[in-house]
Amino acid sequence: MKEEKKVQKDKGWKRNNINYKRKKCPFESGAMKIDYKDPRTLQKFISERGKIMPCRISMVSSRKQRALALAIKRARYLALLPYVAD
Amino acid sequence: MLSLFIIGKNMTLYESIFIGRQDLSQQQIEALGVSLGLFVSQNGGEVVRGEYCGLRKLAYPIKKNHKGHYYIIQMKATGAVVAELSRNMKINEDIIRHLIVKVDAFEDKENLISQAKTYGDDIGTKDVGYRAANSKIDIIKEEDKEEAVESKEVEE
Repeated sequence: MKEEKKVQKDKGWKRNNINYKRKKCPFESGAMKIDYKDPRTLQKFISERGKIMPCRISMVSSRKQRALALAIKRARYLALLPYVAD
Repeated sequence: MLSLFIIGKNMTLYESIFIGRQDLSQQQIEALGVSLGLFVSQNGGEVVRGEYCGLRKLAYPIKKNHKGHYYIIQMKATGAVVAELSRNMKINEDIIRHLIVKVDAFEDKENLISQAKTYGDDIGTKDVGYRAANSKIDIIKEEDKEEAVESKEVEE
């Protein structure tokens, strides 16, 4: 019984007979890489206003969120991304 | 001044990007990049890559420039050389902005800046984080376009 519970904890959780999957960080899994020269990737992590997305919404791990924030700020300095978008 | 630059020792990997004024030609920017690279190599550094990244629309105007020429220099150098390079870039009026960062390793990537579209062009596909990593929106859209073209041809 204990083992089964552990497995469930890794995969996600169950409520009202619906299985919820736990989201994973896209950078930790290696699907994307953080690079300040790549505005196309960084653009997915800023809002329409140009603000940096909070990691509770984007599901980026806190370690990668710090690296991501730095990359976005560098890209902004190089005018690859806007500071304020209308 | 030259005595400060220690040759061979304490070499760190640096990556430098500068934005040139919009009314210059590509040849002028390339010449400028080469001359800056020459300054590094003459003072005991080593230029790994110097590449022109194209004329790109800026996300916001800088000194009344709406477009800018991007140029990237990847180099091995000492801190003193980089400080001097940064000072030279600041003085040069053809350079409207520059950034020098320390990196762990140079990635053999193709030119990301020129590949990427100008900010705001593909803002329609707004996926965030986890969804962005797993979304196949771009691919689906392209496939749809092809299908649409094919269906049109069939109709004709």
